[in-house]
Amino acid sequence: MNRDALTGKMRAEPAGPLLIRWSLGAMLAAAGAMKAAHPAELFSALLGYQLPLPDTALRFAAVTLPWLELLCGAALVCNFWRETVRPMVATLCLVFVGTLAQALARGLDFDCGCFGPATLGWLERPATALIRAALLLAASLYLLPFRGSEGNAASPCRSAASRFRPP
Amino acid sequence: MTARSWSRGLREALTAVRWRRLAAILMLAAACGLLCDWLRKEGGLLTPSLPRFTTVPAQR
Repeated sequence: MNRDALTGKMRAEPAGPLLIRWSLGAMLAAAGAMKAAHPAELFSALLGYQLPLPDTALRFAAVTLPWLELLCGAALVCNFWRETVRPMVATLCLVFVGTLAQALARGLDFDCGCFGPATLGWLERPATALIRAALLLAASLYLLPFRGSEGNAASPCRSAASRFRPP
Repeated sequence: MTARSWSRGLREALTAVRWRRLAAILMLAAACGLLCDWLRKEGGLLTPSLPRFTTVPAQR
């Protein structure tokens, strides 16, 4: 539910964006929770990507990235701070797609590490992981314009509401 | 939704980001991660783990 800036009434979110938001948020939160429990496995998976980053940066990413995913996923499900969380989720998905794409383009044999140590069979294959990340990115980009006008300084609805003077 | 309205919405969404909230989420994630890393029994990736006594020190 979003609040209309002009009338102040609650309006229902369309079913499509709502389902996409819940699915994306639940998937991010689940992946984050599974990775947060096993940061060492995530660190070894990150090493497999052969990124040009120092060891400390990869360790820091292995420690903090799952929590960022978990928080963003939970915030997305709860529709909390949507004007900030949705671009953040889109950026996260963009980073995932870029990382997976560069590793695939270089022909690396790696474990995606998307869901921690959980064995998901063919879902863990790099190509499948890239397709999944691309779908998540598409979903997060689709959700971006569907934010409420509440708390959005750049929204035309809000600026119209600020100009509105009741008779 | 047309491509023009979507791109307009995207532009508005990106300009509407509240940087303090963004920083708060990032710092909360870093704090949770570092705390869990520190509390890990088998040794963290970044921080040294808490000292744990498996035996009671002998009293003299």
